[in-house]
Amino acid sequence: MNKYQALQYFWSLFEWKAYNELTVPSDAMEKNNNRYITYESATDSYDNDLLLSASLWMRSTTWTEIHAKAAEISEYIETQFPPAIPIDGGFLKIRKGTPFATDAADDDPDIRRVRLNIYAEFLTAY
Amino acid sequence: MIKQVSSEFFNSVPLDSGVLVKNWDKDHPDTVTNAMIVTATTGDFNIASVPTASNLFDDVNGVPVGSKEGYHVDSMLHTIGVTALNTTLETIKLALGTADIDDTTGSVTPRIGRPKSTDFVHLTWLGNTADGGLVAADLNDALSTAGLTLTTTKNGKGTFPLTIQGFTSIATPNVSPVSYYVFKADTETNTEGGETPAG
Repeated sequence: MNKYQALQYFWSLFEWKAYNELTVPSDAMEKNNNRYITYESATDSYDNDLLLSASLWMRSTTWTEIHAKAAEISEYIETQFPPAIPIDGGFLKIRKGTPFATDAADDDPDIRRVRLNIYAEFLTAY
Repeated sequence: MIKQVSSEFFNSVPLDSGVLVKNWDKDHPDTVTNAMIVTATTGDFNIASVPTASNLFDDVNGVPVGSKEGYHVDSMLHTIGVTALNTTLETIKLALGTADIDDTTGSVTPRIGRPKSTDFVHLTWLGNTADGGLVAADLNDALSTAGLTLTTTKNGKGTFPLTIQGFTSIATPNVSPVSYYVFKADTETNTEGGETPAG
């Protein structure tokens, strides 16, 4: 898979629908049981650590479930995700960014959003 | 003009710092339990095998200085260095090198003089490579040579540097204190589900 597919693959590991943040359908919340992930799509090559952001979105009156999802992703990256995954031309390495998870405001008081940060390094020659 | 490297180059790149374990079995390299991990660490591991060499022919008339025929490796120093975090009886004794643990009093007492055979331990640094393989630096008879220097800080974590050296034995002079292993991943990671992003 190419670099863009690799990012889509990674953010699709967590049972919530994942969208490139630039192409989110207007009915994403309704189509996906009131929850989904958006992610920043950017690529580079060897020896360049990219700080990429993503967001967990959820329609809810509490933070409990979205915080649990953020914790699940944190644990997954630390304990289960391979050192790197093979992609066209090399590998993709992902580790947590700092801060990893931050609660974010939304105009709609019933929308909960958690911003996530990861470092992605594309171990490719170009 | 050579400007690019093959993607194969990245297969064997070590990723992340790795872990220091005891009693690692090279016949079961993936078997690493929590009980085997010596200590939590911070920062870099430094794994080194550094030769001390001389050139036997440098003083011979008519022979150019630095000839490969005269090059002789006199000895080699094998070390694993890292900054450790856990202060337990075992890790303090490990750092001290020659020391005795008294479980009844909960103490570790440094000892001078010749080491006991029980001071030498089997320690291995294990690290992952990008392709899911494993690389190992295996010290059969390891002993700390830098002693214990515990540094603590207000509002911070206490740490101490650990420098472990591999030793050879008069009984087995041809057995190297260190062996390096590289294990390829058994299977490729199944990541064929990379869908094209929508839009």
